[in-house]
Amino acid sequence: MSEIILEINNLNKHFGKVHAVNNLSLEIKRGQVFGILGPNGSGKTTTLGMILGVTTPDSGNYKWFGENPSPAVRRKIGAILEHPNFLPYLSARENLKVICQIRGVDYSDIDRVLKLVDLKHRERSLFKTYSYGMKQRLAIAAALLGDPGVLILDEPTNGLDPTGIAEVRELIRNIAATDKTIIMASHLLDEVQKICSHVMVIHNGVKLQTSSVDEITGSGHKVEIEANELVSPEKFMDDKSIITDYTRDHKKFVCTLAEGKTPEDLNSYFFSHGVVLRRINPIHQTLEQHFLALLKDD
Amino acid sequence: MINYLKIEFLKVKTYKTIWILVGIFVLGFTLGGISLESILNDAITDNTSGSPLPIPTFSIYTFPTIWQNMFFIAGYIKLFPGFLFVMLVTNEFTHNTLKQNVITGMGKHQILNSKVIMALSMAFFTTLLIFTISLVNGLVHKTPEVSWSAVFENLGFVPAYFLELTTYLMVCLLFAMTIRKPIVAILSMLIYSVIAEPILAFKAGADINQFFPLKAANNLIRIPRTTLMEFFGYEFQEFVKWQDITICIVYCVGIYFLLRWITNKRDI
Repeated sequence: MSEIILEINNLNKHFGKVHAVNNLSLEIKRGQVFGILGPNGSGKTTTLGMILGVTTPDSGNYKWFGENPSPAVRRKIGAILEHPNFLPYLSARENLKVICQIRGVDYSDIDRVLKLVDLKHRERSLFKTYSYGMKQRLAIAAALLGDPGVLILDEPTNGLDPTGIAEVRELIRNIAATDKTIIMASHLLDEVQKICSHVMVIHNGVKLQTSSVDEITGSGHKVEIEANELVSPEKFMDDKSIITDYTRDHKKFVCTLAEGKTPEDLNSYFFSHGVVLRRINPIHQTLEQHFLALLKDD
Repeated sequence: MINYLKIEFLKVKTYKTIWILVGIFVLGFTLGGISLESILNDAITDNTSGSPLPIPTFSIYTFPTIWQNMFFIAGYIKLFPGFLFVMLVTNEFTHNTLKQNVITGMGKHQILNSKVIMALSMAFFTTLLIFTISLVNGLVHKTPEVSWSAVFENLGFVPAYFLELTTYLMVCLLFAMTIRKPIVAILSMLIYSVIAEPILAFKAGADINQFFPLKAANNLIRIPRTTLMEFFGYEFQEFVKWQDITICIVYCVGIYFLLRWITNKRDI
C-alpha cells in the first residue's frame, strides 16, 4: 500500500448559515493526481484553504504526511489558491525571491521554474504588467519552487487561452509523471478527465463520490451490440445475471452489464444461444455524464 | 529573526513609491533639521520688533540640550513613518500576499512577528536619522567652550525616541491589521492620532491621559527648556520618566499579544 500523503477527517466549515464543507473525509496517496470536482461554490476552495492553513475549520482535522499541520509541513507543499497573489509593484523575480526566503529555497531555483512556465524572458517585468495568463503561470512557477513532493492547484487553467490551457495541462502531466502527488480543484470535467487519476465529486459541501477516473469512465458498464437479423438477441435479454437493463434503437441494443461482467462475457453468452454479434462496442462514459447523473441524484 | 527581516526587506527593496516617499522624508527632515534654528529665530525677530522686552532667541543646536530639542521636535513627524507602515501592511491584505505567505509556509504568528520587526526597524532607522542630523548640526555649531563630555550627555533621549516611535508604530499596526483596508486604516489612524486622542486627552486631564497610548509616547520626551517659556513659569522636565517608559512598554507588549490573539481567531 502506498504512503498516505493527506488524510482529512470529518472537516466542517460554516460561513454564516452556509455549510460550505460538510463532514468531509478523504485520503490521498502518493503519486495520485487527485481531482476535486464540483460546480462553482461547492466548497472546493474552502477545502483547499483549510488544508493550507488559511481557513480555520469549525471542526475536524487533517494530517499531512501523517503529521499535524504546521508551517514547516506546508513548506513541503507547493500551492496556488484562487487567484495568483503577488505584490504588483515587484518584478516576477523579486516576488519569487520572497517565496524562496520563506521556504528556505536557494535563489538559483528561480531560473528553473521560470523556464518551466516560459516566463524567463519577462522575469524583470513588474507583476502588475502581466496578463492574467502570465500571472497564473507565475503562480504555478511559485508553487514549483524547491521542487515540493505535493502540488495543490486551484483551477490552474482559469483565465488561460486555449494554447495556455494546453501548455499548463501538459506541464501538470509531466510533473505527475515524476512521482509527485497533485491535488487539483476544478469545475472543468474535461480537465479532470484528462489530467487526474482519481476524483472526488463535491456538491454543496458534501462529498458525493470518490473513485479512480478509470472506474468512472472505464468500459464495462454499457455495451452497444448489433446482431445479424436471423435471430433477434431480444429473446435472451432477460438473464439478469448478465444484462440488468437494455434499450433498443432499431437494430442496435444498448445493454447494461451486470456487476463484474465484461463485454467478452456478453459475447460468449449470446454465442452460446446461437446469436452471432456482428458489432460489440463498449461505451465509454464521460466524466461529464457521470457527474451530471450524480448531481441529478443529489 | 534575520529571516523575517530579509523577507520584509525583499518586499520593499524594489518598491519604487516607498523609496521616493522615504527620499522626500529624509531630505525634508534633513533640510528642516539644518534650518530649524534660523527659521524660528527669524520668526521671533520679525514678530517682536516692537516688543518692550527683549525676546531671547533659540539656540537649539547646543550640546547637550540639542538631544531633547531635536527629538522633541521629531515627535511631530511620527505620522510619516506611521503612514508608510500602515500603507505597507494594508497593501499586503489588499493583494492577499500575507495569505500566500501562510500557504507558502509562514505561521500566522510569524507573519505578525515579521511586521513587528518591520516596525522596530523603521523606528530604528528614523531614530538613527534624527540622531545623525542632530549630531552633525551640533558639531557644526559647536563652540570651543562646549566640552566633549557635554556632547554625549543626555543621550537617554535617543532610546526614548526609539520607544516613542515603536509605541506609535505598534498602535499603527493595530489599526492596519484589524481594519486591513488601506484607505480606511490610514484615515482612522490619522483621525485617531491628530483629532480623537488629543481631544479625549484634553478632556481627561493629565492624571488620566498619561495612560493614553499616544499621549504616553509623547510624554517620553517633554517640551525642552526655552528662555521664553521660563518667563511664564513653565515647569520643565529635562529627563525621561520611568513611569512613562513603563506605560509605553506595557502598550507595546499589550498590543502585540492582542494582535496575536486576533490573528489566531481570524482568517488571514
